[in-house]
Formats: sequence, structure tokens, C-alpha cells
Amino acid sequence: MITARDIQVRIGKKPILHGVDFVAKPGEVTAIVGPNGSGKTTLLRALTDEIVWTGQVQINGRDIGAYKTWDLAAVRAVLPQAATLAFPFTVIEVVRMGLRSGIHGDRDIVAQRALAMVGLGGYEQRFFQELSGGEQQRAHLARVLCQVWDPVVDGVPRWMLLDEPVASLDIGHQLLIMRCLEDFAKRGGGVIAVMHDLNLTAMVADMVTIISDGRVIASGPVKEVFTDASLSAAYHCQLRANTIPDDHAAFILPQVAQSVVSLRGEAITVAG
Amino acid sequence: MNALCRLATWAAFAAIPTLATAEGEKDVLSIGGSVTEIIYALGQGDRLIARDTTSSYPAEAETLPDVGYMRALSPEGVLAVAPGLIISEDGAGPPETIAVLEAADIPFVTVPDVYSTEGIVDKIMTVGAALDVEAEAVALASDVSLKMQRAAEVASARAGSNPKRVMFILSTQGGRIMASGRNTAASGVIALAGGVNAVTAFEGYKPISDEAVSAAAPDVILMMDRSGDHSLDDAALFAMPAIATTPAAQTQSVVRMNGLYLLGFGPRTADAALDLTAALYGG
Amino acid sequence: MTISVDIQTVRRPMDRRTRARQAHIWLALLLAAVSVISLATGPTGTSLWVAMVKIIDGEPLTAMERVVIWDIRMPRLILGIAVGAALAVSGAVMQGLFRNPLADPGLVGVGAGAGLGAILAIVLGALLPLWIAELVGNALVPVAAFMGGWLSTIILYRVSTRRGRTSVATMLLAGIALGALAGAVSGILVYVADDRQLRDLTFWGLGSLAGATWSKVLIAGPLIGVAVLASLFLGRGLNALALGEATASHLGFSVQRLKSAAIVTVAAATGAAVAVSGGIGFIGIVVPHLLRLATGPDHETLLLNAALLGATLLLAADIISRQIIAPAELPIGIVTAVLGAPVFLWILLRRRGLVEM
Repeated sequence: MITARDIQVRIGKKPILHGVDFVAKPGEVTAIVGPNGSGKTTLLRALTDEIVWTGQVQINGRDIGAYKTWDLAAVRAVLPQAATLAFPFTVIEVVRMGLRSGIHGDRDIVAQRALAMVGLGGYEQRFFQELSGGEQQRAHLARVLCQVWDPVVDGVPRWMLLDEPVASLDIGHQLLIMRCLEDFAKRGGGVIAVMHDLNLTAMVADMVTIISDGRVIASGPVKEVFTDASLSAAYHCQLRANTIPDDHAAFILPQVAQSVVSLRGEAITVAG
Repeated sequence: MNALCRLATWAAFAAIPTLATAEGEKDVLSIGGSVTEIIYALGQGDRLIARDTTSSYPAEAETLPDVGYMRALSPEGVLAVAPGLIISEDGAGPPETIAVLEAADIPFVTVPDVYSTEGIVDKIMTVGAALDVEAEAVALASDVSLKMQRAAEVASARAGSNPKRVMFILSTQGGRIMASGRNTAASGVIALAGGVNAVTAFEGYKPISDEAVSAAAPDVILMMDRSGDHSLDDAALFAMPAIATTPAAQTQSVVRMNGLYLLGFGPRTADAALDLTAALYGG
Repeated sequence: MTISVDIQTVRRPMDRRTRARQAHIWLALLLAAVSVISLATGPTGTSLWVAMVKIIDGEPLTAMERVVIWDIRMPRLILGIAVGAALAVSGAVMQGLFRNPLADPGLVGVGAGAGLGAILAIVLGALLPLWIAELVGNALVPVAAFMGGWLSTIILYRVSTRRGRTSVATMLLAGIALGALAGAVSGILVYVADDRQLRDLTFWGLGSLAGATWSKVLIAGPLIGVAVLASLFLGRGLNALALGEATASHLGFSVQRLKSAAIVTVAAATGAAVAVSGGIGFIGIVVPHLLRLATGPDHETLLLNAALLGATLLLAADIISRQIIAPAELPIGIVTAVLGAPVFLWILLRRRGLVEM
């Protein structure tokens, strides 16, 4: 269980998050969605202790401040939105950086399996910098998978916190990666992912939290949360969630309106 | 004369046993140009087995193995020439090498460097004692002090009451003039030749500003005739803004002499002083 | 959809990590060979074998053999290994810390500070009270250089650390400022130096192992040894740091402790190395770079290989420096620069594509 209570973040004097509460359970994929600049990445950074925040964050019932850096890395792995890499490492070398001592079984096999899982089998000896943006993102995900290879260790669930893990991937690889995350959750691990694509979110996520302007608009099971009202309020435009047939995931369609509110708050009239 | 008094004192001590190795044994390492010159002048050149980089006179010396610059001697390099005795100008180093040579029980004689006639006499006597050739040393020293005395007489006669102001320029690298101040071999030899060192504001060799060169108003520029960065033809020299304003530039007066000959303070210094006097005041 | 990865299809390709691990052994053997050559060669022609045979037979050594092999070549060998390893490992650690293949220990201010300390000692050493001069004796220049290097690192570290976080970018900029300041002070000292001291300064700047003595080995050896050994353990952390500070921390590395450890070990190792040998260039950049091209940038193997290759190359350069114009000696800094600079240019031209990473 990852719980966050009353998370407040300011950058300078500007408040980014105004007391956000957030819960994610192991065995589920929990998505965080919201418009650009809503604070969803900031929430993830607070959960991973990358920025200065106030409030309380607990992982598996323990304050994250109480963990040592090394122990924290044993229970959760983080995929940042963009990761840089100095020096010409090969793909397998980057993935191995995620390996920790004490992993069960053959460490090298783990690294190779992780690569195969993200669709990069056979890329081991390629130079990381020679990969395309999407391939680099998947290689980093393989590294994250290595770090928390076993979803549950000694009865304690492990976590993946991912910032837009499929942002620059094609549709096929988006699905592949989302299946990886689902699988990890099914085996008892916890996944928290900041997501951009609402349809993909609706398809894969179990729980979702919508954030807008630094506040939680709604949170809960996808079907309950993805309503016309909450989505439209969050994204400041009219959206409709189609849920036909009923047992299928929501399918979000933007609705063309007479006027939508632009980010500046001016009314723009759209013809048609 | 002071130098002769010194000579007498030295002669009195000459009987004292020294570190010298057996007469005529060929195992002497000489460090420092003036020491090497003195050893040759004493007729002991054939006892030398090696020398340092600064020992470039006489020409025979250059055929000897070179153990490197006197301030940066390598311990094994020195041991490699198997010296039985090392005679060195003051300031050989580094100290670690000297310590190793001491550990190897090699006698090491240091010769003081003072830029005067007395200094030369001291050097000759120290070297003579170390080589156990006191009689030759006394003869050479008295010869040298006589020549020095004669040179001084010539110089003061030529200079009269109107000595020339001389500025010694060590280098002009990058347009920056390094000049000699007080208490250097250059200022010593200028005085011996009947000139006046134009730069007295500092000790040693230092970079000097253009205006200070103008203010020093040298009548003559003195330089070494070595090649490399020290060389600069007369036209370029007098075209330098700092020097263009000096009386030396007006008369195009520049004297170039061999560095070791001019600054070595050894047996040839009297001749160097005479040559310089002639160059300053006309033959 | 389920994910099935067939283990049978996952081959284990020979990757460059295997090569890097084999290189540990090869480079260690090479170092051993060069060490023996270093003990056996010198302008005196004193034979190591004769001496060894005498020792085995229980015969006494001649004074010459004892002095040349035990007092000259042996401390020189040990100091050469220590200095070469220190320079190469420090270079690799700095490049990892600054995430830049052109970083060198100079960036933490060791070079500038040590240079200033050495100049102070050479020019103003005579003004010290007698009791201090007697206490440190010949070690005055090394001690001053070490203290100068250490002090400037501490200043840089303080300047670039805010609220317990060290900014390497600030450190880089502050290092430039501190270097300029040290250069200015050195300039003033050069102005008051006499020509002999100037010559000493020049020779110090060119570096040499000729001044190797047992007392230097005993002072600098343990310090360098501990620092180099400690930095060998920074490999995994430096690898993680290549992914950025945030990711390194997510991987479980305390980035601040990693930075402090890197800076302290580099300052100690380089400070001591520069103090006993003067300015020896290029080892810190060329050695890690060569190894990165050969076996990759993985610091877990790179650091040990750099230590071994750095020591080997410095010993080789030292053998050249003492033999090439024997009985005189070429400053080793000239040898490393003359050999290192063209090699470096050649690497840059040949591997233009990869160097930029």
C-alpha cells in the first residue's frame, strides 16, 4: 500500500499541489491523469521524494523518510519521464544497472528477460545512444523491471512508479508495455503510472486519480471516475466517456463545442 | 687588495687534508659551468668523467656525458657515471638526489657562488683543495686576481667620471623584458667592466615594465648571444616600445656576449670584463 | 494477452564485461612485467639478477647495488605505481562524477591548489621559522602541495554545497574561479622568485619521479593506497550516476554520500600524487578513455583496470624518462605529454562518433 496524505508542494511561492490525498494498493495498476501542468508529475515526484514536499507518504505502512535510500530502492523502482545517459553504455549494461544483489536466480538471465519483455530482445549489445527515443524508453523500463523483478518478496509487495511510461511509443509497444504492468500487478506488485492517454488508461488501469490545478477531482475505479462531468471539469473542455457496451472500458471522445475555455481563460469561438 | 688577503688565508689552510681522492684518478663529476672551467684551467680536465648541462666550456667538456640540469639531477643518472668526487656550484639539487648521493658515500664539495673577484678566488681555491692541487690553485688564483685587478684598472680608467648605464636583458619573450637587478652575475660583471647597472630597484632577474625601462635610461643594452628565445635582432630589439625611448636605442648600442663567458664568474671573467669594457667604451 | 519469454531462446552473448574482467588479469600481469623491468633498468646498469642471486645465496650486496636497487629504484617503482594508479583512477572517478569524459582531478581544484602550495614552498620556504623547516625538511614542497590541494578542494566543496547538496555545475565554475585566483597568486610569487626558483618551478611543473625516496613512499604510499582502494568501490554508484542524480538515488544510491566520497578520495589520491611527483599530465584522461573504448564505460571494471593501466603506463614513461638521455633525465611530464597527446588526438579522430558521448 502506498498512501499519501495532504501533500503540498510549492515551487517558489506558487503552490503546485494543494493538499492531495492519494492511495494505491498492490495488485492494482493505479493511474494518475490530468491536463498538462495539473501537478500529476509533481505528485509522482513527491511520492518518490525527488522534490521538497509536506504531508505524509507511506510505502507499505512505513514513512518514506524512515527508509534508507538503499532499502527504499528495494521496494520501489522509478521511471522518470526523461532519463539522460552519460558515456556509451550498451543496452544490457544500462539494464543491469537496475539489478540488485540478492535477486533470486541468475542475474544476467533476469536482465535479458526484462529486455525481452519490453520487446528489445537481441538489442543487448547495441549502444544505448543509438536507439530511437521509444526504444530508449523501453530499455529504461527494462531496467526498472529488473530493480523490482519479483513483485512480492517475503510477503512485501514491491512497486513501480512510472512517469508516462508509454508517452513516446507506438500503439503496439504501448499495449505491450501496459500488459507488462498489468502482469506485474497481477502477480502482487503495485504500479503507479502517470498517464497521458485516457483510452489506454481506461483499458488497463484498475484505479485512477484525476488531478487538475493541483487538486484531486476524482479518484476510484476507472468506471466510476471516468464520467463526462469529472473529465470535462478536469480538462476544461467537454468530453464524453462512451461506455458501450457496458462491460467495456470507457472510450473517451472529445466533444466539439461552441466555445471552449483556453488555458488563458479567454473564450474562443470555434466555428461549427 | 682583499682578494690577495683571501689567497693568503687559503694558502695557510692548504695543508689541511681534504676530501680529495687519489691524485690523478679519473672520477670527478663537475656540476656548474664555472667549476668545470676552473677544473680545466687547473689542468685537471682529464680527471673529469661527466659534467652538467651548464658546463659548455671548454669545448672538450661538451664531449663528456651530461648528467642533466644542476637543479634537477637524477640520482641513478649521477651514480651511473660512477663519480668518486662531485664538485658542484652552490644549489645543486633536488635535495632527494643529494641525500641519495650522501647515502652512497660519494664526497660532495659545494663551491660558493659570489659575484666578485673574491668569489672567483674562493671558487678556485675550493676546487683546488677538493682536487688536491693547492699549488696550481694558488697560482691560478693569483693569476686571476692580478688579471681582475688589471681589468678593474682599465675599466675605471675608461669609465672615468662618466660611467655608462648598462641594462642586462635576460630575455624578451613575448615582448616582456626580463632584466637583471641587483646582486646577480650580470650586475657583478657590469660593475667589473666599469659600467653602472641601470636597474637597481630589485634583486635578481625579474620582468620589468616598459616605463621602468624608460626610466632606467640605459646607455647600452647587454644580452646573451644564445639562440632560441634570447635571440632578437637589433632592429626588433630597438623597435620594442620600452627600449625605443632609451639612450641605447638612439645610439643603437647593444652588446651580446656568450652567457657562460659573461656570467660564469670563473677564470675567464677578467677577459669577459675587459671585452665588455671595450664594447662599452670602444676598443 | 500473457507474456511468455522462453528462457531457451535467451542466449548469453559474450559481451564486453567478460573482456573487461579478463583485462584485470592481463593488465596485472603487464604491470608485474613492467615493474620487473623498472627494477632492472637504469643508467648505472646495476643488475637486478645479480643482486637477486646474491640475496638468495646469502652473499652481501655491494654498496652500489644496495643504494641503486633498494634506495633509488625500489621507492621509485612503488611511487610510480601509486602515482600512476592514483592519477588514472582519480581521472575515471571525476569523469564519472561530472558525467564528462574530459573531466580531470583538476576540476576539484586539487591541481591549482597543489601548484600554489608547491610554489609557496619553493619561493617562500626559506622564510619559514627554522623549527618548521627542520621538522619537514626535504618534504616541504610535497607537504605544502598536498595541503594546498586539500585546502582548495575543501573551499570548492563548501562553496558548491547548499543544504547538504553539492552541485557539480557550481563546483565546475567555482573551480575555474579558484584556478584563476591560484594562478594570480602564483604569478605574484613567480615575480618575487629568483631565477633558480623559477627553474625549480618549471621542473616541478613538468613532474618527475626522480625524487622518490622511502620517506615519500611511507608518507604518500598509504594515503594513495587507501584512497585508490576506496574509490574502487564507487563503481556501481558512478554507473548509476550516469543516469542522472535522481535516477541514481532511485536505484538506491545516496547521491550526496557518493559525491562526497568521490571528492574526498580524489582529493587525497591526486593531492598526494601531485605532491610527490609534480605535475604529470594526460594519464588521468588518456587511460580511462582508452579503457572505455576497449571494454566500455562500466565503472565496476573500469576503475580497477584504470589503476592497473595507469600504473603500467607511468612506469613505462618513467623508464623512458630515465633512459632516453641518460645519465641526465627527461622530466616524466614531458614523456607522458609527448606520448599521450598524439594518442589522444588519434583516438579523437578515429572514434569521433563515440567520443562525444
